[in-house]
Amino acid sequence: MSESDAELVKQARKGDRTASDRLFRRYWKQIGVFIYQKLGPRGDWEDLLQDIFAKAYRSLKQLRHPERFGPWLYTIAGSACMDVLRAQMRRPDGGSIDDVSESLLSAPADESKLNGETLEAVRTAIGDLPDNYRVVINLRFLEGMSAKDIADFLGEPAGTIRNRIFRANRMLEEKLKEYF
Amino acid sequence: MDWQCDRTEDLVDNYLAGEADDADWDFAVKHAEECPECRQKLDDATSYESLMKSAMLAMAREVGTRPSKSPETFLSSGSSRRSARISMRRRNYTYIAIAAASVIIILVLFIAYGSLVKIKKSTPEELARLQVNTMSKAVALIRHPGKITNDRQLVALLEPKLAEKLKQDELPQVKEGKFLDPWEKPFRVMTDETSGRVIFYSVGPNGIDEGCKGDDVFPSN
Ligand SMILES: [Zn+2]
Repeated sequence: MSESDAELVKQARKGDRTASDRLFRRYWKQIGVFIYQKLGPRGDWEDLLQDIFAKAYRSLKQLRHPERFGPWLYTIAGSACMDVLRAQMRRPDGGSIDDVSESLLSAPADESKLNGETLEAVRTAIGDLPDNYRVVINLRFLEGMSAKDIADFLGEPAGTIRNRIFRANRMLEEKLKEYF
Repeated sequence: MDWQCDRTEDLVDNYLAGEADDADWDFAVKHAEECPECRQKLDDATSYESLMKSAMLAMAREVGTRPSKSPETFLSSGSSRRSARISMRRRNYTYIAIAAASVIIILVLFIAYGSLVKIKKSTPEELARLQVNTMSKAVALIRHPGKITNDRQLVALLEPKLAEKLKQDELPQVKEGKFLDPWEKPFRVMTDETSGRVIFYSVGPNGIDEGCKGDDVFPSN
């Protein structure tokens, strides 16, 4: 059995590096997808994720409920995205063309598993959802969790989560009608 | 809209929330046989689900599913990248000596291993065998109301299941909505007459469809 987040948080706070290591590996993929949806194609994911995880690690002592590590990490990632977007808006040229072209160049040529246009459509549709909707949709379709699992994970009532999933699905189906 | 349609609509909502009940599912599939509107709804729900799942997978691939180096290296205090560099400098020579020794040991072991066992990648035949086995098993697990009418639909339904079972470099290529075998020919589908199962097979290195004979690669069981 793998250890719970809460146990790993407690060990990590005592300075156990393998515990923090495991904790962050556990969340790398889902937090990566979460920020990708908000920020769109670019080439510096590893740096962004490292900064988010380093920030979380530094403030681990302030986390009041170790069993809510996951949701807490999502809020940190959410505000990190806002910082990146704000910084981009302040830039005089208004964009990050360098980042985009870099990620296009480094993309393998046969990335035809799901065509680029469809992927980008789904990404923007999900990226436009409020963060709390986006979290449940990701946990549902990326992590394969049920509404009940998600409710336990977030510490919210199952009925609330169920409704949030229904509504998010409806919004996405409406926006993505022509893609499925 | 009668109560049957209502029950089907609830099923669709629950299904997309990951909480469909088997009995409800069976009921809805049965009802959909005589209600075109509900059949459409079920079809839409499963297509939407597979679109979401494959998009999530594609996004994860885009970002990378795991860190390229151990989180330990960037979880130090201060700004991550800068402080990593500083702490590196602080390490004393003991660490360098240990590192050098382990590099040598690993190198020796690697060379010894390499001479004992020829390190080789699996042959195209082995890869094709693995792929047809996995695809044929996965296709049996698809729960899809009604008929799957085109390759794209099939690929979208199968891809998430294959990604669970196969490593990144074992996944079959997809081109123009078809799975390709290691020789870049589309996999063929047929129904095995004895078991009634749908199986995938590859036309093999010669590229000629011999109906699971000759050099065609078909599932091993
Ligand atoms: Zn109906």
